[in-house]
Amino acid sequence: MTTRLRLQELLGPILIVIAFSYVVGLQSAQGLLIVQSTLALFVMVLALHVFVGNSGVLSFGHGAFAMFGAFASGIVTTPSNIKENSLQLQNLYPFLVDLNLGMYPSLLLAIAAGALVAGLSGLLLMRLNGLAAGIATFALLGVAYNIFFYNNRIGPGSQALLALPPFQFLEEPVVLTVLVMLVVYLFGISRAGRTLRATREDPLAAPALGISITRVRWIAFTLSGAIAGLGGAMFAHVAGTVQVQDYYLPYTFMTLSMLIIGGSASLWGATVGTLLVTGIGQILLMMEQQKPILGIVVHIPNGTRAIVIALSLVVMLLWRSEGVTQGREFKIGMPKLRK
Amino acid sequence: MTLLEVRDLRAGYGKVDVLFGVSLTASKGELIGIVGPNGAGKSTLFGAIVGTVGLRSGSVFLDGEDISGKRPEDIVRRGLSLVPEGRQIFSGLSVIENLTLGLTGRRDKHGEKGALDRVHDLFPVLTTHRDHQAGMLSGGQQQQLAIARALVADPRVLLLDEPSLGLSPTVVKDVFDRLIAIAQSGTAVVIVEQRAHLVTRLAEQTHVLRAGKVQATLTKEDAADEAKLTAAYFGNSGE
Repeated sequence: MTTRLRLQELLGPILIVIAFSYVVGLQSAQGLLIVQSTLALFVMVLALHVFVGNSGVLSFGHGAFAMFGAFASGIVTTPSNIKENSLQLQNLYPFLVDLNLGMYPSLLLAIAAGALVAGLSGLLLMRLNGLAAGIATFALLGVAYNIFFYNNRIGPGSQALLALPPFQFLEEPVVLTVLVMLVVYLFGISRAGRTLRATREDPLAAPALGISITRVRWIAFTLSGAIAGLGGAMFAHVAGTVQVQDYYLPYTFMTLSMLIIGGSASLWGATVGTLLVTGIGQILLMMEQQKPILGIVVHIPNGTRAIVIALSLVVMLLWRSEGVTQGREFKIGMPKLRK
Repeated sequence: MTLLEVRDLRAGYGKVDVLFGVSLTASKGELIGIVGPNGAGKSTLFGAIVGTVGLRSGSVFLDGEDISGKRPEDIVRRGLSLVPEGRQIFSGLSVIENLTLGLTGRRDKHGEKGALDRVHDLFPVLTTHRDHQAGMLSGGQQQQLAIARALVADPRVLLLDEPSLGLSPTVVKDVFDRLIAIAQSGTAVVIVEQRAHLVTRLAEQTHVLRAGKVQATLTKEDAADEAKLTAAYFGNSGE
């Protein structure tokens, strides 16, 4: 019984993500783009869920890991001839000009980059709690942003890195996302995941059981950094371009909103939040652009989409702080037989 | 064989001193009581022993090893477990998940299954409610879970802070019967209790803590004398 319910918790969200991907992705080129970018954001939301959802410690710094992942993957997949001739890349370290990898090795590099940055920064940051932890992770985001914005030895600086190979098939981001969901789920049911949730529930009781809060948080932070690195790289390969601004405040706000609106404590919450915010966001975007929805054109001012998402976040925090799913995992109730 | 030795312990919070030179010992298989009125420093004493309250001076030895000032998680791994006041079980997790968390503090990772089997034997109700959410258990069952969670770490010394809190007399008797069994199995058990009579009739020695000092140490026979106990508990004037 327990095993079936647990499998349901994993398979339910996976099937819904696959269904969404194919139903929307096969409609049109625009639909495909929406699916691919949603999945890239979803991977980032999953990264946040691993750490924020399980530890209860807020992080504004995961955009930094996404940046490192995106630029690590972007630089090595940009063809050498473009790196040699591009004006914004003329100061790049020579070894980076010569280094070329395929997309999939570059995604592994992105995972490693995210994990490394998270692992190293986590050695210090994981000693902090509450507001201090949130502010410190925000500072980390600021540091990463300024590194990439002003340093044109490792990237294009404030300019965009162009000509990245985009995903060729819908299946590529779908498979990557499903793999990440599996990893996130396995972490959640592992001893480390349970221990981390215990520290969220009662940080005072945990040390009395021999639990090192710093250590379990560091494990989750590093894992979530690896996933965020992948999410950042996927986002880059959807658009075929990377710019440091893409991973800064709007990206952080959007992915945190998705997690909080859905419910940070569960895989199901991360899934629902991402799909819900994407769906509402797309409808509002069409209204902003005066595109017909079911044959009707409704015009709303530009920026309404961001305002609605922000207000949804406030409403959620006020009246349903555990999100739409209330922190529950996916579960289908078994129908009762009539006597 | 002395497993726990507390020597001249002074501790407090910020600038406020709470303990003023507390000393006590607990040997293998011994059940020790610590009683005293509210604010006597009982919970602070346990906090100082397990490393959650900073020491001003003094030492704590576990089986001869100085553990003073070590981190709580390191102290647990050396074989000293605390069942905190109010139980502090993880109510959102299942019974088995709570127990599994208790295994974190084990020194011997090979004996995990055996440890779980032993606590299931000692507290059969936990087997019945294995997959239930811990927060849904009754108060007595939660107390049993808290004790079991500490026991799976295979402690040489088990500290319990107010294990009778919020429990009915029948359940209290049941819990204390299990504690006697745990002590008889060779664990040194130290119990803090505000309701002195619960522990004085079971403990080989009962230390009466008042105003941060051990005011008296009573044997089981001494404690049976109501006048002696009252004098030690409230002071000679009986205030």
